[in-house]
Amino acid sequence: MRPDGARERPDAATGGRERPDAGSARADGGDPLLAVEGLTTVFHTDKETIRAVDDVSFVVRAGETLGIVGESGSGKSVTARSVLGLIDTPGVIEAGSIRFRGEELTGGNWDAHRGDVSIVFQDPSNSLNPVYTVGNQIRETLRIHQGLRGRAAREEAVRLLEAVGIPDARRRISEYPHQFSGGMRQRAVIAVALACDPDLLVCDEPTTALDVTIQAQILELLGRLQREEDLAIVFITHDMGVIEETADRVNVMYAGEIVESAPVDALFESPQHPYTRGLLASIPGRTVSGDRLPTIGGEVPTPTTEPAECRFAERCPDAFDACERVHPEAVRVGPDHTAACLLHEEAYEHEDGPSRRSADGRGDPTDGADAATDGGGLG
Amino acid sequence: MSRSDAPTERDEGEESDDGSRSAAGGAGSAAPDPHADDAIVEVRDLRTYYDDDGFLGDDPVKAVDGVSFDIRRGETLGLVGESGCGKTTLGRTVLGLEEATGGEVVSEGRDVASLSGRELREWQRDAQMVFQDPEASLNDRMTVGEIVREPLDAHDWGTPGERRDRVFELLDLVGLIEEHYYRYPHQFSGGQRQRVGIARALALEPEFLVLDEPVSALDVSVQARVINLLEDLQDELGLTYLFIAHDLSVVRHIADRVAVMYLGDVVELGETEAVYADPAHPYTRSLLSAIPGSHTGTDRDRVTLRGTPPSPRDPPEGCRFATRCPAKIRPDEFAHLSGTAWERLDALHTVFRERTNAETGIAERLKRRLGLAVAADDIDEVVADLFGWHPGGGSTAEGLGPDEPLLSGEARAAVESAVNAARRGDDAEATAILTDAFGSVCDERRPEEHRVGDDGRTSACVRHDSGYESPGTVMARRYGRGDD
Repeated sequence: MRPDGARERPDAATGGRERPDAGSARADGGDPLLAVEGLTTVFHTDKETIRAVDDVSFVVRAGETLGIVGESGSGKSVTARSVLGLIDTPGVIEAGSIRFRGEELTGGNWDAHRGDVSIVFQDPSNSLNPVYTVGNQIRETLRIHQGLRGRAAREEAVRLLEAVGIPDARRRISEYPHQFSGGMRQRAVIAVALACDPDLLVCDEPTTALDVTIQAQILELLGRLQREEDLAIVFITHDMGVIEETADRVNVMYAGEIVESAPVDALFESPQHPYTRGLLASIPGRTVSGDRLPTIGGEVPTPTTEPAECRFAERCPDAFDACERVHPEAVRVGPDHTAACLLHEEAYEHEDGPSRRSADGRGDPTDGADAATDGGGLG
Repeated sequence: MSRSDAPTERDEGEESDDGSRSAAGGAGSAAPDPHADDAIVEVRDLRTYYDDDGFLGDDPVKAVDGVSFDIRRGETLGLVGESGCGKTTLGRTVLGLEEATGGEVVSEGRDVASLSGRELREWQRDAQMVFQDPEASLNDRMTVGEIVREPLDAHDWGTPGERRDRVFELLDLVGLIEEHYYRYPHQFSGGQRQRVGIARALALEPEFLVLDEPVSALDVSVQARVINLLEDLQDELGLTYLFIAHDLSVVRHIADRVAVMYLGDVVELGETEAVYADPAHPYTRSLLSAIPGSHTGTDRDRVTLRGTPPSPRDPPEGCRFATRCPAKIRPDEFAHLSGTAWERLDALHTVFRERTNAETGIAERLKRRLGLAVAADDIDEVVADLFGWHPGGGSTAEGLGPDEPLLSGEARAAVESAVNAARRGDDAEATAILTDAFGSVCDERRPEEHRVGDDGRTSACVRHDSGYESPGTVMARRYGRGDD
């Protein structure tokens, strides 16, 4: 089940445990729309090899929204780009498989499915070409993916712009991106993404650059498109509020790995991984104003070696000794709910709960630089 | 209004210029002012226009257009609004970094805009700014020590040795360490860079900080630490913050009072919790309802505003928010029109407005001057889509527009005459006809500030006048259940 098969784990942790991700993929009957297994994407730099995505597995079923959430540097975007085959040197997909409708995409087979999977990036002004009209850019996609030309392409482009809620589309289509407002530009980008009639839309922080009112419009639009066109969506964001509104299931990523995966309600009601709990707690709206915000000390580490420990251990308020020796595997903690944390591994359960490493509910800052980012500067 | 209520002096260097500070304080207290006990900065009818002197004689961009409020000593005043509403310009104008077109910013009895010489230096020392993007606001070629020391150098603060000690002290204050003095900004993470920016702003012991989106570029866990730091600093140093942000959750957490801006105007201002719990202005209601997620504590139905704010070059004459307002007053004679009909009318109105303001090529401008029909087909299609009839006489394509024509009688006549104007290429006339027919008091006059509630909250909406239903009631009726 592990394509690389190279990693060794202590026997105590293995215990014949099944990989719940793969299990749920099978339970679906036929092939899921997208099945990612053991995906490992690394970037080779002069200094080191960065394991941006490290042994990640998930499935996306037709018509559902999978949310991927995490801080910057957690590997969300690299996961998205890997799925679309957009990894360039020095990056390389080192291991794992990405199957779309059962067909393997890795190894250069993306071209067979170009257009089935489409992506919307964060910054709409960078994803449109400023020297072509919006209509031109939609028509280009229509020509490449659907073979439409001339009047047919123009009519379809107008229809797409109307579908993404741009009023007066027939006139707007001959305008340039700079004549569009930010929200309209993102709508136009979505129109371009839809022009290849995809089954799966990957949205990489599509509303992060937008105002909350415009964000609400775009989220509404994506929801409507999903219903109308039976689109599956992979929604990547760092905003827990957005995830809560859009996703059916959520993967929480940390330092290249999925640390928790759950249906959205279960994740928000009972987060099982200490990192997820920390992430949810640090949202300002959840704390009474005037109180200090709970924080997670330290920074997301850059993973450069295969994990032999829990990558979150250094910042984890619940870490105990074994966390630095054992790499936790995803463990089933509820229906369709997994967490990769030793707290949930029976072999490590203590009679009186895990021994807290630090009493103040915070990972020990290990060096000066950590202390500096730790937020406790005022003593 | 003496400086004696300022935070405890913390080091020797401070004492050296203590004399000049109390002198300034004395000058301030000489001018009697009703708000003097309270306000550190008074903003009165402030206007900031940007005029690009284009050869076509465009209207100026009215970034801030007639704003008045006080910032009370020791408080955090949150300033929220969509991008382009003028938040940043307002913050910069308050500090004197932009020249005000009209109105005044008064601190300690002095008009900030008219300061010069020593007084200006004092103001620049007392009021500082922290910028949004820590990548862009720190000079990559200077070490962190030099960056934080620069304001001290510029103001000839103490001796070189004292400056150096002061920098170490500041680094410690914001949670950085001594080694960081010798490092360059690129060696720091985003959160640390923002700490450097805060240390620099604090170097001259200001009383008042304008924080322009200080945590927007940071991850949520780092953001939480910087927010905690800002709150600690405020407690310890007695700082006053003007906290500009578009993230409404962050503002709710940190701000004592919040001002909501829309298109150059403050539409609502009040105690943060009260505003969030029961927003008075329709814009605030819509804005707060758009926050995603369940942690927002507002269980109102979402009101998704359509479109984007109009151009600040050509803001609506009446209420700024009238073009998008979900609680807009509708004329009695059209009281029978359905919600859908109003929605479509608004959409058509927006189309005409946007066409009026669209940047058109010289060729198209010439055509318009010559009265040649432009884009008549396009507008026909818009109308067919929205209302289900085809102004050009053609039949509507199948599946286009509503099944039944939404408008009849006078309403339809008004739309037809507007569409005819648009077919001639006169979008401005079309806009005017629609405004005439379907407009109301909202389009005619700018609403005054009304006191709502008993906690000093103000909201600028005509609906607070007696004789009108309150915005909340109307929005609840028009857009679902609501909470009233």
